[in-house]
This record gives sequence, C-alpha cells and structure tokens, in this order.
Amino acid sequence: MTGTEQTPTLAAPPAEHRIAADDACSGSAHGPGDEAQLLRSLRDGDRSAFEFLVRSHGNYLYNAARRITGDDAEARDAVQDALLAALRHFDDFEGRSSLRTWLYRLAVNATLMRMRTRRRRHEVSIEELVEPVTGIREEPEWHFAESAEASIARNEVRTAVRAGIDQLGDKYREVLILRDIQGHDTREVAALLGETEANIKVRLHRARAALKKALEPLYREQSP
Amino acid sequence: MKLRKWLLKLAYAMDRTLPGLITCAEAEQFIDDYLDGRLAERERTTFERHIRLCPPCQSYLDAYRRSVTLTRLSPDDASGAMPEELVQAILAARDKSQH
Repeated sequence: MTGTEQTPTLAAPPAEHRIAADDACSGSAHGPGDEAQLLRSLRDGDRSAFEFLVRSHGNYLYNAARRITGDDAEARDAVQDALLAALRHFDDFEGRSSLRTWLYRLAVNATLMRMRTRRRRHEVSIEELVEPVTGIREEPEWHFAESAEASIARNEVRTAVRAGIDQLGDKYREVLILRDIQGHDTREVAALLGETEANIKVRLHRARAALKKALEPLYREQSP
Repeated sequence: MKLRKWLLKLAYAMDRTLPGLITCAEAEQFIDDYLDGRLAERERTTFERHIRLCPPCQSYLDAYRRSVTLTRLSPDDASGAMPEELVQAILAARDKSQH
C-alpha cells in the first residue's frame, strides 16, 4: 500500500454513506474547519492532532472497512493499517482531495489488501456460479409478488443477499460492494483497485449474475 | 411465444444478417450499461428490441435488475462507532513507531 495520492482523484462516496465527523475529540485544539492547520500539526508529529484525526474520521473508515470485508476483526486491522500508513505519508498528501477522501482511499486499499492476503475457505469459482449463455437463453418466468423495498424488509431476503455476496471470490465481491453498496461508479472503482474500467465491468457483471442466480430461490418462492 | 422463438431461431439460422438483431449472449453484454442508462440510442434500441422478442431474456433482465436493486437496498449493517480499544491500539502503535 502506498500513502501517496494517485490520480484520478477519488470522488467522495455518496452522501448517504457518509458519517458526520461529529465524534471529534472535544476540547481538542483542532477543529474540523481548519484542515490545513491540522495537516501542519500532523506533519510536525503532534500526537493530539493524530488523536483528533483518529477520532474524527475513525468511525467513517471503520464502517467503510466493515462494509467491504464483512469481518469486524479484519476491518479493525485494516483501519489500523490505514491510519498508520497515513502517519507515514502525511508529507505526500498534496491536498488534491480532502483529507477524509484520502484516508478513505487508504482504508479501502488496506481492507482489500487484508482480504487478498487471507485464504478464504469457502470461496466458489465464478465459473461454478455463472453459466455462460449459448444459443437461445433458457430462463423461467419469474414473478415478483412484492416491491423490492418490501422484499428487503424481510429478514430471510437480507440474509440471502448477504450470503450471495459472501460466496463470491474476493475480486468479484470487492467490485460488487464498491459499486452497488458503497455507491462508487466504475471509474472510481477502477482507480481504487488499480484495474482498467473494462476489467471492472466484466467482474461486476459476473458478480451480479452470480448473485442473481443465488437469489433465484426467492423469486421462485414468490411465483404463483 | 412460439412465434418469437421461431423468429429468433430464424435469425440465428440466417447468421444474424437481419439488421438490428443480436443473440442472447450479445444482449447480456449490454445489460449493465442499459441499467446504468449508458447505452447509446442505437444500442439501446437494439437491446430493447431483443428483450421484446425474447421472453427468456426479458425474464432474466427482470431478475437481474431485482438482484441489483436488493443489493443496493441492503440495510447498512456497518454503522457502529469505532471501538475505543481500537482507538487506543492505534494511538499505542503510533507512539511505538515514534520511538
């Protein structure tokens, strides 16, 4: 993982995924409005400035990591990795994005690094999950007895969606989560993962197709 | 239904030389850009024509779109506060690295 900024600059995540920095360390000499001053203090090795940073942005980074990995212990390790990497690289931060966005990128990269280095026990190859279509497609006629909003309100559906995502190999799972749960567009995901947009599109499609197949029993149960 | 299937088979038999007809496999390559509204008008028209002619692909598209929607609507189960022990662990690691 590198702490240097890389272009293109990552856009901030969607507003609904942001968590306000309202948990800032009260009584600190640093406030959320003076990022330049905070950065100077961080570069000077000011411990209270670093604590302010951790407390201001920690929740946001921690929850982003948990969403991506689905594993609390791994998310904790990744956030620690990211914040310590930030500590080593404050001098490289050029201010082309907000500090929050830079930290977010470090946290996502640290999380993905953690995910890639561990061996997943029940990973199924994408070829087993998705069959390529040849000739005329064979597909049952699905019926949806309720809206997607009503469906996701049911516990069994939420569990099925989570299980469907969890069965994916890391390189498909991370793209699906960054695109469909974290809300990044293809260009941003490509920048985060250091991949081409074409590769991201292929992975996203396979991941979505595999998830669709995993959720078919739900649609079958709803058929009249 | 049978007529549509027969028409598609005819199109394949003619090596898809009929203008504006694509195979199910080709249609699948358009799905994500179609759902994102990123297809050019000509591609969108071609894709939608295939979907109208091919009930299995219509059904596939419906289920695919529903899966994407369910994923996006999945509740955020990661919205807790960062544990204090993690804050302390990070600060301790910072102190250790500074000495």
